[in-house]
Amino acid sequence: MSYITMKKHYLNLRFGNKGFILSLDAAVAIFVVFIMIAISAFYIGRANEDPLPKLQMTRTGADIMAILDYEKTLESLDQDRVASEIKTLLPPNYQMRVVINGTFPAQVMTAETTTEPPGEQLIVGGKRSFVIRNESNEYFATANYWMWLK
Amino acid sequence: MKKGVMITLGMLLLASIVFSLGVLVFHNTAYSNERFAELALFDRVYELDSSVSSNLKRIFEYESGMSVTVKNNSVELGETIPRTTNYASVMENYRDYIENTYNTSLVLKFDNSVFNSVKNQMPLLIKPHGILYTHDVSGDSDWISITPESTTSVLNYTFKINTTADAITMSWYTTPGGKTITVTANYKNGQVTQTNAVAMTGVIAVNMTYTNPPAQADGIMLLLLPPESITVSRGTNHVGVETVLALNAASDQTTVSYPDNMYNITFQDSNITKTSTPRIA
Repeated sequence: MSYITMKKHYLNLRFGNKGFILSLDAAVAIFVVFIMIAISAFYIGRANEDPLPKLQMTRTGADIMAILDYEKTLESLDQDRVASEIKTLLPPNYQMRVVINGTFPAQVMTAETTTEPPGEQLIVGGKRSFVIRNESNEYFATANYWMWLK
Repeated sequence: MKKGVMITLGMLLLASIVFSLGVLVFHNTAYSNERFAELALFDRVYELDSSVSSNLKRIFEYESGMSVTVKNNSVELGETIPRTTNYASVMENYRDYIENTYNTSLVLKFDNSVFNSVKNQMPLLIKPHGILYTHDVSGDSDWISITPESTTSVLNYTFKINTTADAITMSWYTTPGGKTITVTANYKNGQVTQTNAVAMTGVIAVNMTYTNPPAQADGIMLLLLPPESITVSRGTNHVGVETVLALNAASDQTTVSYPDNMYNITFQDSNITKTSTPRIA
């Protein structure tokens, strides 16, 4: 007598167990790959917040204030002159606001490139102190500045 | 079967590479953020130091009544004695203002002993030659004092004294030596110039006569003190004193500044501290 051995099908599928295992394997692999890519995308997305442009903006503001100080533009307390110099020195993609106060008798002076508030974005700022000579008197003042992207 | 395994492993490898790159970029950004925070702090300290140094230099230019010129092989200092400016009070007011302005997270403090000596005596340090040019004020006296730290720092001294006197005579109570001193005294209608090589001991007297009523005599004395120091004393009348110090070593790095460690800048939230002094010329 001869015997025919038949594999028992666990599932009633056309191609049997092999096809099912292959599909399951592919599905698991794709699932794992998608998880890894999603996590990578998350990390890379977070990494796009590069701090160097913020530093560049801070340094630009400090340099502008230093130039205004060395050229004695701040010391003149001439609002139009300060605003004009700021517009000349400021890179085109920035806005800037300068407020000067101190021991001098005049009112607080403000020079700005726009009257619109900056909105929800990063604002960098700083201050620079300077000396004003007016006839025979010395006054001391501080120029506070803020910068943001247009 | 093998193909399936290979494909799966290949996809896993590719995904792992992408994942690793993402993690690397993330960590690099975190590192950059830390460096940004540090650099921002350093920048703030530097800006404040630069600003204060510039302000103190400007106060010197406006209120000291002195002129300072630095050349490659000499330094020229000019002033009128006795001094009649508001230098001390302006310095005091500036210190109060700037310490009140920067007294929270970024703190600026002047060193009291250095500041008081600068305010009262206006000492100037000529570097790297180590020459101290200062003023001694005692009661009504007003002296200029020049003291090199080495006897070879200054090759020779030239003094030009500008007066409104009607006549001038000079007397040298010195002994011959190796240091050349030239004294030129200008009066209304002329000048007297004398040069001698002297040892650093003795007195050079510049005698001035005023004939306008009230007629009076006045004098400036240059005291030579060993090992090497010259003190110029004032008389009763205001005189201009221009001092030229010929330097032994020519240098394009000669600077004139106040004494070291005049003020201290501290960032309270970190360990960043900077001690500095302004450069005058």
